[in-house]
Amino acid sequence: MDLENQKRVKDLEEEFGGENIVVVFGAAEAETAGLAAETVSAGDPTFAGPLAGVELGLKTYHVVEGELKEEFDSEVYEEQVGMMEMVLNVEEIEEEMKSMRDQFCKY
Amino acid sequence: MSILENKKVIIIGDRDGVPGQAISECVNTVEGTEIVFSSTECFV
Repeated sequence: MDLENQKRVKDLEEEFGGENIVVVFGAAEAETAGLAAETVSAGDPTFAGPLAGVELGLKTYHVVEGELKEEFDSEVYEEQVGMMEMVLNVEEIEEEMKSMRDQFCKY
Repeated sequence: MSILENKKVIIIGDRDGVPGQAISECVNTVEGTEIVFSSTECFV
């Protein structure tokens, strides 16, 4: 995950408190989404950025996960994400994100 | 229980997946949420 974004997430967690934050990703691959989720919950696995060794434990979702999708206006979702959803491996993404939440989410 | 209701939302989109702007449009349809940061990453 981008180092600048890591810093922003860290600052926002300090400002608002981790229990009040949800992070939503749009990564194209399950692996990339999982790495990003790991970064903001268990710390930067590459130990390169501001979140290295920082376990924020934030709640993370990918935008195509069924649980999250049902909260959106369906027309807007179809218009904005529908096309991309067709080419993404939603099942694999859901499995990966759930695994990250189960392991690292504190809230 | 709603996942997003009364939450501050951080959005990290992906240029090759779903961009931040598209996710923001969806999140904005959920009442009581506030987007505190939205970005689109590029892994190229």
